[in-house]
Amino acid sequence: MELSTADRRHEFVGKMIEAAFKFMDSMDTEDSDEDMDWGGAEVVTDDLLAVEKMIEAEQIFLDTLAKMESVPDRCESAKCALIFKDGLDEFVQNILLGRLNHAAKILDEWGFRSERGIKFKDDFYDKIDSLIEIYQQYYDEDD
Amino acid sequence: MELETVEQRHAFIKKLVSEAFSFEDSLVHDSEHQDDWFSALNTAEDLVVIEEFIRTEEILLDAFAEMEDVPFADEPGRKFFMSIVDANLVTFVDEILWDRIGYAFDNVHDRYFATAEGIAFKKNMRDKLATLMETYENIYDL
Repeated sequence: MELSTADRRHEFVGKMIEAAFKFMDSMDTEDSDEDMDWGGAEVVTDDLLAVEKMIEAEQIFLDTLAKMESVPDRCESAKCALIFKDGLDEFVQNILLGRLNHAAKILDEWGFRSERGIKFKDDFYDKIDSLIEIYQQYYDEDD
Repeated sequence: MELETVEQRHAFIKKLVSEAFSFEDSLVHDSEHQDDWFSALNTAEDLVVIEEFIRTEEILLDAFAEMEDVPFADEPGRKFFMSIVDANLVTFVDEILWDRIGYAFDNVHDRYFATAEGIAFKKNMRDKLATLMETYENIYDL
């Protein structure tokens, strides 16, 4: 899945959340390993729900930036757009990436035990990692 | 506590976050306190997300203050530009920040607390979150 636009990233995270809920529903909480893994998935899902909302904020900021950049080219509007872009970068770097890294850390440190739990962990780790990479690139390009 | 400035609101939510975590920390891990412990932990996590969005509000407001200093050749040009910026801020506060405070408010309202301390904690959090929502409604005219 392409992740080059905020809309696609939003959709990507939405699908992950759906998959996480499905995974949690499928776990047998009477089984101690699966119950433990259920808990890990729950914490990660909370992070993803926050990330989903943050990407909605990103969409709002990108729309604003597009509007600013469409103002007839004058040096003051270009200057303001740059200031706004710096704010957006700060948001991505400190807030959004912070949450994604938190989710990756939980996955890494939780100690998933059941076969399905380990599969969930590997799958979600890869997906979160590709999001982190996209956002890091996005940030680097602006510097 | 005054909540007029974003710094004051940031301090307010930070205090709530630490109150929620210290309440959660203070609970003995036995069956009597398990519901309260779980509910307090989830409440604290909702508050952390609000804190992150208030930090975002701060970033936006800092950027706008910086833009105010950019000299514009003409006043209508500046006004038009700043109207884009204002609309952005109101949309963010309304759809993201205020929405997320409402989400935390509903969650704490629905969560089950078993002990008297837990019920007091719930009431306190609900009242504080309601105050915060009202503050945003007034400041941004939502």
